[in-house]
Amino acid sequence: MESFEPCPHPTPAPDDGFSSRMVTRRDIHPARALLRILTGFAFACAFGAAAGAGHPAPERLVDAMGVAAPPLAFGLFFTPSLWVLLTLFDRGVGAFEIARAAARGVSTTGMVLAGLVPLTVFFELSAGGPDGQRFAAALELCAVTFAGLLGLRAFACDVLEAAPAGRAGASTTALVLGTCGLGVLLGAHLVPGAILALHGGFR
Amino acid sequence: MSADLSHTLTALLRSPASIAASITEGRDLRSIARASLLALLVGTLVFGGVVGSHRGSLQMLYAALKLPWVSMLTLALSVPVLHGARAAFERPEPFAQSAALMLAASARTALVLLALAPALALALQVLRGYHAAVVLSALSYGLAGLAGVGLLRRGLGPAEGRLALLGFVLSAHLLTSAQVAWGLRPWLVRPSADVVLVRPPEGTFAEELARAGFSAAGIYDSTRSKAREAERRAHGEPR
Repeated sequence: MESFEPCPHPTPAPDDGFSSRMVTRRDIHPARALLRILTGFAFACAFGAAAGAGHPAPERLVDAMGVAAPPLAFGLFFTPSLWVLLTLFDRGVGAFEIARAAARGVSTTGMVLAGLVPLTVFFELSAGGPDGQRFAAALELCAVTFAGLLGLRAFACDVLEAAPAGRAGASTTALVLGTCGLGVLLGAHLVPGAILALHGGFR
Repeated sequence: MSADLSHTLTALLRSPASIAASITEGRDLRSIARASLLALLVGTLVFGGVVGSHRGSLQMLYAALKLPWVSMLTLALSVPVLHGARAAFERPEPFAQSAALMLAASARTALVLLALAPALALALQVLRGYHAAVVLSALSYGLAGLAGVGLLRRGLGPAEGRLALLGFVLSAHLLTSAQVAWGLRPWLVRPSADVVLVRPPEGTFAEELARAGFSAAGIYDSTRSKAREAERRAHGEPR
């Protein structure tokens, strides 16, 4: 039966290539978790730069980083606050486990966005006129939303899997989902403005 | 060599599951890629020529030369999408396998296009109308696309969670191929238009779809302009 699983099980024999090192492997060193976050951020920045390919200008690099900011900000600011709350309620999820989950979330978003970079550049360069630019911007917004939701799903699933069986109750789920909700709000606040700026306000 | 090619082409059509399994296991990737590339080029070249035959003369040659480019460019833009999305959906594969899967799915589509080409050519000669030609060509492409989707679905790994991945990859592929084809138009050429290799860049296929939808409902550009003008007046906005 083909269905959308909230938390997918990894493939039995995962490929040990770049995408596996970036996303699927769970048992990683904290230093690699940091590398995952930075690589995911770099990929998201590349997507932002691709979204600005129709209106190239040096000052748009800042707007390109605006597209990539929500996953990084989520990883750096929201996950420590989740760790504090989970520890406060004694839910048994360690700081490293949350850091690993955050790294996997950011790198998942980054991998999806990296795959969309060539396609985004193509749409930006081939869509002529203000209406074409609006269409390209709408597609980019959909892409970022989808990639962001996949990243949040990876993060939430990893944190919930890390919680000990006896203590993974409704309150843990509520805290994790609440943090993800804040991540969605952060993205909704930053990304549309950044995409609008990358298109020169459709002028 | 030719026996190997024939065997792979037959497998592409008859047993997509075995091709998908070979790609997943990393077996015979070279021969699958070679056969798929050949099928893709021949299938799209012939189908392009048939589409161009609606107008005839030079347009047959132009469309035949352009359609393989549409497939190849779409493939080049879609493979990274598939590769990134597979990692995000926890079923990563090496890039070569993602590329081989997308190529094989496109080749299966192209082979079905090749099969549909004679019937479409006959239909285009019998039904001379431009709109009928557009509908028939689009239907043929859609039908052939279903054959490719079957192979792609099998190659995406375990069934659990496969639907969302397939939906995402297909959406990206459809949008890309539509925009690439729009960028390389004309294909059928309206009776009133001149035959050219490629028209100057203009908008996106989505605008054309909206315009065609309004036209089909009997609402033309001038009518829509008047409606927009009335709306502006109702809101007290300047012209």
